[in-house]
Amino acid sequence: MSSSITPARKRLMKDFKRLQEDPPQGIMGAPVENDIMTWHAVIFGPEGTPFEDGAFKLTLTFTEDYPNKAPVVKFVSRVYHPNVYKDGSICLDILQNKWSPTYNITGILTSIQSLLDEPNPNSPANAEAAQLYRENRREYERKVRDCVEESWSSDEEEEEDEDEDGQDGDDDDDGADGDAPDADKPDAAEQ
Amino acid sequence: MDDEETFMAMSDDEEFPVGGSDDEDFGEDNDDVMVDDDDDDGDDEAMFGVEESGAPTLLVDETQCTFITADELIAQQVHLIKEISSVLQLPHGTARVLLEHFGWSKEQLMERYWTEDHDKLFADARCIQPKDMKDQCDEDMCSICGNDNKEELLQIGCGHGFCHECWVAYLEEKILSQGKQSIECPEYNCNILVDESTVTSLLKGPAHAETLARYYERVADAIVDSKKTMRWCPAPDCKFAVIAPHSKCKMVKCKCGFEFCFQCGQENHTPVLCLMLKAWLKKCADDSETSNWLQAHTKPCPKCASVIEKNGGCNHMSCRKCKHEFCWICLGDWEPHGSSWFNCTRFNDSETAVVREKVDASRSLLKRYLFYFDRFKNHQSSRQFEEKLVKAVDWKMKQMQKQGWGWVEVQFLIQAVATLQQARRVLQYTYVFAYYLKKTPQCLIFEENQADLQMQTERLSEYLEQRAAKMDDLHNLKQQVMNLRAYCEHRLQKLVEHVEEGYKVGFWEYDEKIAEEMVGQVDEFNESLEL
Ligand SMILES: [Zn+2]
Ligand SMILES: [Zn+2]
Ligand SMILES: [Zn+2]
Ligand SMILES: [Zn+2]
Ligand SMILES: [Zn+2]
Ligand SMILES: [Zn+2]
Repeated sequence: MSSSITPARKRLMKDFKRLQEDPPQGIMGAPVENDIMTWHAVIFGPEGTPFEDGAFKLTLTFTEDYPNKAPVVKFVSRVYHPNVYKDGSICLDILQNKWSPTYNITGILTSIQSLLDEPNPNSPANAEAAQLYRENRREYERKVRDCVEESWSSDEEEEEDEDEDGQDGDDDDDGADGDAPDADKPDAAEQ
Repeated sequence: MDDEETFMAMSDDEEFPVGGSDDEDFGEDNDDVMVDDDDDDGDDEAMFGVEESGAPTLLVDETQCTFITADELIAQQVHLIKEISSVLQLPHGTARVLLEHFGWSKEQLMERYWTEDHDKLFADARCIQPKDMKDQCDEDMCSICGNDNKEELLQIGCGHGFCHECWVAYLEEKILSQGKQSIECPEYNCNILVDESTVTSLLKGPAHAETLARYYERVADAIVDSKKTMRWCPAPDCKFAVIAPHSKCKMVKCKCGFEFCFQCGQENHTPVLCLMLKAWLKKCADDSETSNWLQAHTKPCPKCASVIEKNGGCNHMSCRKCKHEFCWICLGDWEPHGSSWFNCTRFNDSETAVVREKVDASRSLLKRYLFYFDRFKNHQSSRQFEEKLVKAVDWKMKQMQKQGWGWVEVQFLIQAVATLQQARRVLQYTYVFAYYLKKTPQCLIFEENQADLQMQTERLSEYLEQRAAKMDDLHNLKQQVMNLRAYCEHRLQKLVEHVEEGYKVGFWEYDEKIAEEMVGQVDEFNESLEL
């Protein structure tokens, strides 16, 4: 099967082409070498937001059901955000019940990019971040800046990156359902 | 009466889990359909089985239900769509989406169609108005796969075009993976519904037969779900949906013969209410009972913690593993106890008293549960056993016909078996009822009724099982069987009526744990009597 070009692969190549020809501001992405079903991407924090200057890495994992089923999208970099779980899973409607097959990779990544500065505090994946976002914006922004800085420093540690990739496979998929065990204990709380 | 007041006081803000809110019933299940009045069910003379309009609500009302298969439902629906389509001058697909939006009620749709703003009405129904329907795709390319062969693109009035292949893959995902029949346009942010005829034409051919069949199953399910007076028969392999005369119907009998509760979908569970049964079934399934048993009958050895089971009455325990000797009551060393027959030094110690109480309480609770569970199970297995009677009786009936009896004349035998099965089933559930009941004087009457019914049931059962096959004096046999059946039915009727009266008047008192939940159910039950 892997040798024939399935509709999912065909579509992913099209997505790749579109992303290269017409890259949106602050977004990069490409399939992993020899595996078009797995993508690495980087989202730069939008200017004028606390996420500015951050370079957040993500992985996207597709199945042969793409684009009828959404890919699994996870942050590899630590992101302090009300809708991002500790394991990097993202709580975003278009990746779940609002998914439409007309979405493509550009659409997914731009939606995540705009989610950064427009969190949805009603479906918190990180309860502390959601609370600070509502009640103590200064502290919230301070913690966001911490992870922005981290996003650059961890860039040099390629091995750590690999490690985190490996972990992704274990606690996959269901992280974004709103009840991940880690939801209440974001990393930043330990600092 | 105290209880009644409590019921009244709490009923206002109770949400009833069973039956749903019926305020918005559509079309045919209006209150006036129900013609029962309570006045003529006061007396017990009407034999059970001869259901009349005044039959107790807890007994099956066979006469008032109708039955429909999925195919018939869909055919009815097609008919309705055609009608609406021609009356309102709408395309079929549009008529269908609107009808579904209004719960398949023609009246609702007609009324709202003539009184409401069409922009809003169509938007709410997720449907494009005929005047706004596009006849071309907005773009020359399938926005799922990028296919730019214009000829292959298909849109459903909203202008979002997709190629055939992408449509089919999308529908398969929605129908097979997500089990949906209400399917929106694939375009992000477009909520226009894909109408049935589009689905049917896209899923043409043997390759999609299974998907299409699933789709129609879901369609039929959705129709049944939308009607508060319809429910699929839960019997395995039964294809019928039962249409009840009103949404509060309790026990119904399907065309296939299976009797079930229209509210909770379980087998006919007269005389208990749904909530009691639910609590009971949960209790039976929970292994908490097992742990109760363990708590009552076992203790860890105070020295090595291995589990010791107490099986005799003696409190002098010795651990099989470490040979430690201790007192079952206080868990202390046996040594100081040994000198006299009972010299438990810590017997009155408050801490051990608590432990002891806990053990005693769980032991007596468990005993109680096991008592009822045992009888519940006994009747259940008797019922399974008596299934065989149907065959035996069938044989006997054939024999009798060979000897010149008419078909009608031998029906008494199979009717007697039916009564027996019914009585067994009711008996089985009386033990659930009794388990949750507080011992009030009314409860004693109930237990008497239960014992009477049990006796008559056993007599009928014994006669049918042991004697009927051997009896040569057929006229005598018929007389005996008919008498026994009549007694049994009479007792059954008595028991059920008494339980019902208790619900109505409010003289039952329940175990605390269940009482609170029962409030809503009893109210609802009474409500259904007043219909
Ligand atoms: Zn296409
Ligand atoms: Zn559309
Ligand atoms: Zn049936
Ligand atoms: Zn029920
Ligand atoms: Zn021991
Ligand atoms: Zn003792």
